Amino acid sequence: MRYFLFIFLFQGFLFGSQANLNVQNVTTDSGISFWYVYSPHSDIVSLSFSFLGGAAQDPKGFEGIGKLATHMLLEGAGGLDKKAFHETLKDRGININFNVSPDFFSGHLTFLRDHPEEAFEYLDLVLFHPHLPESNFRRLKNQYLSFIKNRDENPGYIAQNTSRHMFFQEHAYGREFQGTLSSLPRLKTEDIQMYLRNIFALDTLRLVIVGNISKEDAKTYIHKTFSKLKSHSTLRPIPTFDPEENRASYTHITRDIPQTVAVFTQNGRKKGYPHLMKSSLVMHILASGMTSRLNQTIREDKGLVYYVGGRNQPYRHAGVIKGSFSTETKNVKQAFDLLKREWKRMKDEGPTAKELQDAKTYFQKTHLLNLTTTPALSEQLLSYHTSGFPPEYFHNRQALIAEITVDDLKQEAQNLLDENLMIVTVGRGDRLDL
Amino acid sequence: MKITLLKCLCWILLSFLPSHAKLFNPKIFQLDNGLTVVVIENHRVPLVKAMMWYKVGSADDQPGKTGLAHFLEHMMFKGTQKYPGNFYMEEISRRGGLTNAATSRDYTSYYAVVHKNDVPIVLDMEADRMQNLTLPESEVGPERKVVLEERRMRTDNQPSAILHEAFQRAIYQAHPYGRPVIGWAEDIKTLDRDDLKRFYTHYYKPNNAILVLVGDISATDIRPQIEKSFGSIPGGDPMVRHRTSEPEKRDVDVQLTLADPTIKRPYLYQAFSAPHFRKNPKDVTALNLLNLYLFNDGPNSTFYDEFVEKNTLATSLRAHFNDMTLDPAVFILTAQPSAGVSLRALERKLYKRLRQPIRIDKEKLERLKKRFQVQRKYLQDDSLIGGEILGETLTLGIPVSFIEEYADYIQTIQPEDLIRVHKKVFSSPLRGRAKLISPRKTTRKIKANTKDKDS
Repeated sequence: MRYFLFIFLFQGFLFGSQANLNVQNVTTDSGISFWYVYSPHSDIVSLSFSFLGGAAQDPKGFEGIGKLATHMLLEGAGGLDKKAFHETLKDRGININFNVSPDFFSGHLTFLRDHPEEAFEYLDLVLFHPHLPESNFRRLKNQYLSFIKNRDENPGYIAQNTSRHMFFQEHAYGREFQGTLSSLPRLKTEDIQMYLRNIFALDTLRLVIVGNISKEDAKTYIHKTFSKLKSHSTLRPIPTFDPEENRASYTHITRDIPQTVAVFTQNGRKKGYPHLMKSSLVMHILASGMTSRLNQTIREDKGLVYYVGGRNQPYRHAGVIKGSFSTETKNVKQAFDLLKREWKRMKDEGPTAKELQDAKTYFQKTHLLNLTTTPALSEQLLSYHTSGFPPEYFHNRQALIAEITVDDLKQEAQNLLDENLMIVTVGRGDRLDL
Repeated sequence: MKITLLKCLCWILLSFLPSHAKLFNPKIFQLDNGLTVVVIENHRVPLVKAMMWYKVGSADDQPGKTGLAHFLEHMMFKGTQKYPGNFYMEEISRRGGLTNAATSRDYTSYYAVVHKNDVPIVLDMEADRMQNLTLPESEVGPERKVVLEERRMRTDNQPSAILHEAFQRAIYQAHPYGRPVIGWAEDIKTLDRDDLKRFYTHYYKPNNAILVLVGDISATDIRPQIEKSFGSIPGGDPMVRHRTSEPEKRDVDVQLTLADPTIKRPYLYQAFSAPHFRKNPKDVTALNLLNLYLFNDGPNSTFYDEFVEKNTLATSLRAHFNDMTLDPAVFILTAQPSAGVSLRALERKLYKRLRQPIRIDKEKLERLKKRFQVQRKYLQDDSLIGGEILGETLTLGIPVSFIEEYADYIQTIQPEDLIRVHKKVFSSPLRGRAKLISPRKTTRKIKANTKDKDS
């Protein structure tokens, strides 16, 4: 067992020799565009792709469709049952997996450069000829139900889940995307099929391919597989969630545990907000990582927590700043007093010139950490692609950061932060006077 | 002992290399003070991961001082006279790097991933904190509170972690692997600056450490910098690690039950004695293969397929085996029964199945072996992972050459080896079993039973 003192990772910036990395926008003859990076450093090729229509598409009461779909697609395909399918892929060094976030359903294919045709053929089978047998679906649901029954009693989960529901209320982002004890038994394989039919379409497809593969081959294989998609997706509209004011509140849930779990929330910035980088810098200095003001004050100076942190989570239709810490019940009030003080100080005064300079350098240089494997690079590029950035963003971002001034951040901090937070605590005793 | 699948795969993967194959091509040299230096060149990204591995872990804590190795790991970030306070952390962060540390039962490791131009300052800071740690009293108190909060977060708030801790304590009768890495809360509360200083002064010596640099770096170019930073640190006496061995023959079967109201679906744990690579590397290699053949390869694993996929007796079945330990460890199975299946029924069926003779399909085994050769390329795709693998290996006293030779074992592994190891591990008496259940009344309690094996 390992006990990590800390870990901090951020998406930042390109620096050094990798600045020569050439991210190209390529279009197949059939009109499918994708980002392409030729990388001869290894024998691995990685394809990352996504469709609009993540778990926020789950109808109320039917939560878990998107999540179960990520598993059901791997229950066998074509003429291969699950066992044969997995064995065949592993023998050939082909990896296929899927993920769902509130906004996107994404897939990843990695393979050895010697076998691109086979790899795309198996991806083709998964996307267009998946096995969705009822017995497999029942087993999968039962596995999830087992997981959920214990998850629902975990104090960290209770705090996060309550906070999400209270913040987003009836909005789709407030739902439990992994499913609930009441939603999962309702789901049928037809729900999965319909969901996939609705979202698998060319109009929202974003593709990135990185590795030791020629541009022409990439065009050929991508065309062969993805041109079978229908042209338009059928998506439920997700309304914008943009409350004018924070709804400060405090909720306490009693549980007999030695350490209280606390979650704090306020309005944040959504995807597409033009000053998102400024928000990220403000939150980095205030709340993210081990050198943040919150960490310095609450952990390093007072020893009240092992970890405290918070960040902006930008979704397509909403933004939320969320953070958390855990501490002995007797220390909760002191920790929140310090947290609110730092929150207000950042709002009123903004960062110092040194803090900004350090944060800018950090954001500019740390990006390399995401480039140590081929799949990591393709996933990083896909996140830029789905955020609406052009391929040049990979290079231009450094200059965009360099332009940001202390006054910019003072203004952003003033507009963004509100020390009247929405707070949820889970722990012993009654609610505190926060 | 928890082990990541990746680590397991890496270890087995190394095993599959033909003896002439070079996966990481390390350059190894030693300074006069005994510091071993490993450099793995990989020029894909202009990054370097600098790792310092100390041959001391929680199993070297003394009784009554548990948690000392881990506490010191925290304090290593609290500054020296030259680089006071949080300078180390702030400097790595300011340079866009990543830093972390880990304490295991056998070693303590530190690393920083930085741009290649930043390696000199990282080496200088690492060398400085090897000999000049200040350990200010004003920092010890708050950090002790941080460690206690870490313990509450990781263990005391989590019923499964509480049971895991008690289980480890029970299945090791004598060996210090039974102690929690983070330490017992009552011990942590008493650890003071003198304890930390003694431990630091004794163990943190160049001859008890391995420096690993992996990434966009040249061994020839960096050696003068390493000599400059570390060369003047005096070496210490050879380290002797005193650890009580487990008795050869176990006479008791430990059974633990943790009943907690937050547990709605129970879990089952079974621990078995496992071979150790020092005594029998071939059996360890065979057990790693057997692990995949039976448990940890999803639907392709025989027992997983039987219990989870086909008969749906369990919603999960997983094996945990870390062969990278200084002393013999255990093989642990965890399982969760499906709805409508009692924990007792699952336990009986699993135990019975484990003790039945198995048949190993030669073709399937060959495919499994071949697959690791294919997967080798994935390891080579990761520009920094070699540091982690070789650092851990060398810290445990396994030379790189041994790894190269170990590859020969895997080529000779045959179905009968898996059958032999299966019989050896699963036909022997259990080391212990544990259950995580929901109580009839809503109170938490741990019930422990020990009884004769044959009863």
